[in-house]
Formats: sequence, C-alpha cells, structure tokens
Amino acid sequence: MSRHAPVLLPEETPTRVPRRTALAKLVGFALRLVVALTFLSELTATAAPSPTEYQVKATFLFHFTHFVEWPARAFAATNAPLTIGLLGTDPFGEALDSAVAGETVNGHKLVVKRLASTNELAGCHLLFLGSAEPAFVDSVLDAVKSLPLLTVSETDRFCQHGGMIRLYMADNKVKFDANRNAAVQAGLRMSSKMLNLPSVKLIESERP
Amino acid sequence: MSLALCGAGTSGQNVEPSTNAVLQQLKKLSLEELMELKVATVYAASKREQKTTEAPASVSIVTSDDIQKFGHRTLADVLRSVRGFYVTYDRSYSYIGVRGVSRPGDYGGRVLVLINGHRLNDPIYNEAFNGGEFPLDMDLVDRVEVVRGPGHSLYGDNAFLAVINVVPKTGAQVNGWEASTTAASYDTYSGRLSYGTRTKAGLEFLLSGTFLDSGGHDRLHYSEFADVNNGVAEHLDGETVKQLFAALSYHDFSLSGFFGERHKDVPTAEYEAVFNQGPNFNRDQRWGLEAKFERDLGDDWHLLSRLFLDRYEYRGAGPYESEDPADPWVLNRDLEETWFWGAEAEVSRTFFNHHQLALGVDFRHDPEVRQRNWDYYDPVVLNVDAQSPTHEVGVYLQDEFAVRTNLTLSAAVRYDYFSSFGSTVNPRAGVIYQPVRDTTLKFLYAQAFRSPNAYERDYTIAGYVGNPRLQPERNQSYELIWEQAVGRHWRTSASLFLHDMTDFITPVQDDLGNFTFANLDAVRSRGAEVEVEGRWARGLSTRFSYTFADVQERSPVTGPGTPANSPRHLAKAALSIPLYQEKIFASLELQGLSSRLTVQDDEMPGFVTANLTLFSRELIKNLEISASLYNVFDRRYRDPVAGDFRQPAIEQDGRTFRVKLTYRF
Repeated sequence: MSRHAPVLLPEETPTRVPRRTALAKLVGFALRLVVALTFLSELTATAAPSPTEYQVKATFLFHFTHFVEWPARAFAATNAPLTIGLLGTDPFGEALDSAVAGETVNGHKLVVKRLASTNELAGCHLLFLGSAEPAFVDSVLDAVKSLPLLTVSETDRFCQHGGMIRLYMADNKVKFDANRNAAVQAGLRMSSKMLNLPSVKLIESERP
Repeated sequence: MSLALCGAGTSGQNVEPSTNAVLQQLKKLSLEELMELKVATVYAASKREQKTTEAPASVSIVTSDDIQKFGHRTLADVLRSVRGFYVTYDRSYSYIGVRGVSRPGDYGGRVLVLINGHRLNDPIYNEAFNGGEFPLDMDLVDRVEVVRGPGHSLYGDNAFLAVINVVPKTGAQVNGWEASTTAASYDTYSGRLSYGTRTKAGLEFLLSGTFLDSGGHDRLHYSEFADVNNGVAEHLDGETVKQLFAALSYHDFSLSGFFGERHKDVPTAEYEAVFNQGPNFNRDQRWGLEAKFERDLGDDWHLLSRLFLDRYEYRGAGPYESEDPADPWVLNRDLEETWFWGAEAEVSRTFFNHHQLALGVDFRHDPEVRQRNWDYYDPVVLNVDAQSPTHEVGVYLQDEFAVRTNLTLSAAVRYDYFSSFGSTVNPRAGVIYQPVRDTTLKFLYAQAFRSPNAYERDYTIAGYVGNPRLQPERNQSYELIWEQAVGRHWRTSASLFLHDMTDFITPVQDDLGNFTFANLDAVRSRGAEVEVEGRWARGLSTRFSYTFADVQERSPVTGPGTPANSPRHLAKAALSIPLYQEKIFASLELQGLSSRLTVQDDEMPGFVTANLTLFSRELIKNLEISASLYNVFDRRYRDPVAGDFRQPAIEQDGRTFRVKLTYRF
C-alpha cells in the first residue's frame, strides 16, 4: 500500500528502467522451475482420493455386502439382485449409486432402492436408515425383526436398540459398531474379518 | 470435494464428476484403511474439521471444481461469487466488502485471510490479499472456506467480519506433473508448473510455481486529469505476479511454504502523484514458512501445534511535483519491511461423548515492522523511518456441548494481549438445533476486535500524522440462520444479521490541517440473506443468492449517514450445465450490485455483470481447456475509491477474455 505524500523539493529524476519482455521472463522462469522440479520428481506416485464423508460411508456399505452372508432364502433366485434400501432422507446423493454400479456379490447384482416407507422393504437385503429419532428406529427395527435384512444406521445407540451396524464419525474418520447377535437372529452371518478389526466395537442389544 | 454444497449434510450431496473415480479408489481400500481415512470437512469455523451444518457460523465453500468451471482467476473472483461479498478494485489493490461494509481508504483488516490456517494479513496494513497479490495460484486451491461473522474467539485479530481459509491441494491430489498456461485480454499471459505425489510410505509432496505478466490497458482515461495528456494515462496498468508453493508432509508432521510477489503499475496518480508519469508502482512481496504437528494422543486427546516465520515487504514508487522548474517531477519511494514469527498450540478432547473442549495458546512476535519513505534527492531525504515492533499473546477456550444429538451449544472465550494497546477479552456463543433431519437452525452471538495497524499508529509524514493512542475497533455481532434441505437436490439458507461496530478507525483532519486517524465512527450493518442451491447428477448445478444490507454510519464529525461503497442489494446467480457427458460444461454467473455512494457522496449507479466459461476435461486425454468471457455484455461501471484519489470512482474493465490449457502427465 502506498502512501506517497506530495514532496516539494526538486532534485534528480531517475529514468524508468525498461522491463524485460513478458515472454523472456516467462521462459526464464519456466526453465528454472523445470530444473528445480526435475530434482524432486524421483518419488513414485500413487493416487489418493480426497473423499467426502458419504463417499466413504457408501464404500462401507459396499464392503458390508461382501462381509455379510445372507441365507439362500433371502434371494428369490441365485441371480436375483442384492438390494440396498435407503429409508428416510438420502444422504449419499450419487455416491452410493456410483459405489455399486456394475458390481456383483456371489452372482447377485448390487442395486440401490430408495424407499418411501417400511412397506416397500420387500426384496431388500440391506437397509440404511441414516440418523433418525429413537422411537422411529425402534418401530422400524421391530417391523423388520424376522427378515434377513442387514440394518445399518448412523443413529446413536443403534446397536443397543437392536440394529446390526452403526456408522459414526470420530476425529473425521468413519468407524462402526456391530451387533453380531442381532445379525444371527435374522439369519445373517457377519465375517469375523470384519468384526475382529481393532476399532470395531461389538455391542449387545439392550432391548428385548 | 464440496461440503457446502451438501449443506444440510443430508441431501443434495454434491455430485463431483470425479465421484466415480473417487469411489473406484475407495473400493480398493480395506475396511481397516477406510477407517483411517479422514473425510472432507470445513475447518475454519471451529479450527477443527466439521460438517458445515454443525459449524457455529454461516459457511460457504467454493471448491476447485467451481473455480475451474466458472473460470475464477483470483481469490477476488471467487469472493465475488459468494453470498454477501463484493470486491472493489482501484487499479492498485482489491478490497473485500462484506454485507455492505467496505469503506474506501480502509484497508482489508476487517477480514482475516488464511492459507490452510496460516494468517496472511500483514502487521503494517493488515491487508487481506485477494487479487494478484494473494500468493496462491487458484489452480492449486482445493477449496475456499468462507465463514461469515466474527471468528475472533479462535483466530484473534482481524477475524472481524469474516474468516476466509484457502485450503491448498495436497501432493496426492495433484498426483504427477501439471502444466498450465493462459492467455487473456490486455497482453496477459501466464504459466504454471506443478508436481505432486504421495509415496506408499506416506510421504506427500507438492511443489508449484506460477508466473503471470499482464501489459494492462495501454490507455486509461480519467477526466479529472484532462489538463495532462487529455486525461489519458498511457502504459501504466501492467502487472507481474510470481508465486511459489511447496508442501511436504509425513504422517503427523508437515512443512509448507508460500511465496508471492506482485508488481502493479499505478495509472490513477493516487496520493496526488504526477499524472501519466512512470515509474508509479506498488510491489508487494509476501512469504511464509510453517511447520505443523498434529497428533491424536489417545484417550480422545488431540494436539495441534504450529511454528511459523513470515515476511511482508512493500515497495512503492511514485513521481511527485517538484518546485524546481528545471525538474518536472521527483521520485518518492516507500519501503515497508516486516518480519514476524510465532507459535500456536491447541489441545482438544472429547469428554463424556458430549463435550468437545479445546484450549489454545498463540503467540506472535513482530521484531521488525519498519516503514520508510524518502525522496530521491542528492542526498536522499528521509521523510519517514518508523519502527513498530510488537508482540501479542492470545489464549482461548472453546466448548461444543452436544446436549442432545440434535442440539449443540457452542461457547468460546478468548483473551488477547497486544503490546501496542493492552488487553481485550472477547466471547462467542451459539446454539445449533436440528429439529428434523433436513432443518438446521443456528443462533450465534460473537464479539470481535480489529487492532490498529502499524500504518495507522506510526506513519507520520508531511500532511499525515500517526496516532499511537488508537484503540481497537469492536464488533458485536448477532446472526440467526435457517438452513433447509429440500429433497435430494435442493438446499436453501436464510439468515438475519446484525453487526454493530464501534470505534471505527477513521481518517480526520486535526487542528493543523494534518490527516490523522481516530476511533470515531460507529457503523451498523443489519440485513438479511437468502440462498437457494441445486445440484444434480453429472455436474448440473445452480445457485441464487440475495443480500440486503442496511448500513448506517454515525460519525461525530459528519453526523449520521450511509457510508461510501455500501450497496444495499447484492444479488448473484450461477448456473453450470454439462453440455456433453461430464466432459464439457458451460457455466454462467450473474453478479449485481445496487448503487453506491462515493466518498464525496455522489451516487455510482448499480450494475449487473455476466461471466461465461466453457470448460472441458478429458475430451483429449489429460487435457483441460477452458475459455472465459468476463463482463460479457461489456457493462461499464465504476468502483468508489479512497479520498486519496482525485477520481471519486475508478472505471472497471469492460468485456475481457481468457483461454487456459492444462495438461497432466
């Protein structure tokens, strides 16, 4: 910021120094930069994504379909799709659709279905509830109790209420709790590879 | 990735064209690796990463994708697109206006600008760099977080009306070499070369350099100087920018540095210089180095610490009238040099799952804050040589208390000691309530200050007298915000705000006719803002915003009135359409300002400008091409400027263009 004050005394008048042309400066600068960067380029590159919360959570849902075994009766046919149902507001946008696009699990094509109510649950294998009020969670869990349906939510104490997997954020990382017995009761088998991870907390239902 | 755009965090999640690519990468990770991955969040509102809806502030985020699609060249371009913001340009610098507050002649000290949390405002003018003098190339920006209202309780000085945190890309995001070049109106050319990588061992590295040269307008006409060269300033609008950025990180530890130098010729003969006479220029050089260490200490404890060393240097030159008839003019020079360093540490911990408590200390020492001004005589005559070394210490405590899952109380208090004027305590409090999933209500109160800068305190020269007894400006701020997601694609927000500011540092004439600064005016900005934003698959997006700001100034000298450069209405619209797959986008921006007063109380009419950008990527493998037209309808308008100009307002550019090529290899 300049604050030239008017100056009243006369003296020498320096002349303007001609500037180098833009092109000459650009070329000179680029050359110096190339030399500097070349020294530093020997490291090998590996790509790393910069994901959003729900891109990561969508990936978790995708993985869960691989780490959980559904009973054969859950599928109408051996090549029937494995359906992920979203109940309530959809926080994923396109992320979940992208995550499952073109994927199959044991011959079952992965598809996403957005549900208006629990009445549309037929044919779903994984139910994602988002976060919801405890009373609503209880009513949904009661409604799906006998179905071979993997229930996943972000609601606090979801597993204590009888839900199977709760996704949550800790230090901006996505973690999860699991309720193995709730899965067993629904005829699902959660892989020990998933349950034995160090940061996974195993939780029992506190509700009959 | 854009969090602002998912706003309520529930629906209308932004669909980056790269969503698919990101997910393909994510799916390759194991569950264990996924659980160690940090997700994108907003950092600046609470000095920790969180969702925008949970932040105790009104937050906008502009992503790199927005910047590319809309052809934003500088941080000023980015801010012009943000609700409630406007930027004034006087052909020397750009000044950020927030909700009707941007008095000509006041520097940018009421907005804090950060690069990844590193303070950019300098100790002399506290200037919030946002034009070519901002040291980071917009191509290297991952996102710009704009946090409205005071962020004082976390950041201290200058977090007065807004905090703008510019987050650079990481080495992994650049992932290889990138070369970019632009050509634009008025003989403007630029080049950039960047290299970034992350090794399997977790070492991440980024280095980038940019050079820009602009010839500027060959002729600029100012009727106020009709007696000299018919009022035409010739070849005095050139600009040269050099920028370097480097970052190295390994797990919890990171080192980074930025450098920016900008030379701008001055065609306006500001500060009563001789018109149409070079050399008349401003050259700002700003660099900063920092080491950062961030670690989870276990048991929910988290440590963040930072050590930094910074420099700001200003060189100015201008020709002034000479009394000697043999010499038409004499050269006057300014040289301001500052060194400053400091440290910050913050520990935070989650208690009982409900309290997120943070305690922070920061310290800054400015051993050299030197302002000099001299005339090129034989011998040289020194007009100013002022040293204003200062130091300051701040301590803050913040608690975010989740009373219920949908109700959070946020409170913070900060104590500051400044060697220049003493101590001050500033609180902040907020309530964030989510009655239903798609609705967030926030009520926020905050107090902030802006300390008098070295220029206002110590610069004394013929006609100007510094005032070392200046006290800080104060802001009591209230804001009520309603954020609402509507369906999967729409997000809206509405807010009412009141910024009640007192002790504004204002130039006045003393008994001897000298200009000096005093804590005089009270400025009150109150109004309302609304914004509607829609996002669909394949990158289709739209956004409208409107700000009404009623700003009143109460001056003991001139009485009550409307301050200069304060538009009552700000309206913006943006639309980005994918024309062909996700490879070609057309993006249109409209920005409107209502009329503004000049310092002399003349009215400058309002205007609407339109910018249009065609952007393509991967049409040819690894090549990005963009072509932009700015001010498409060649709208002529003028920005009010400081009283140090003979012109009450300065005409802005008409229609201009830029083309840009970026190649990755």
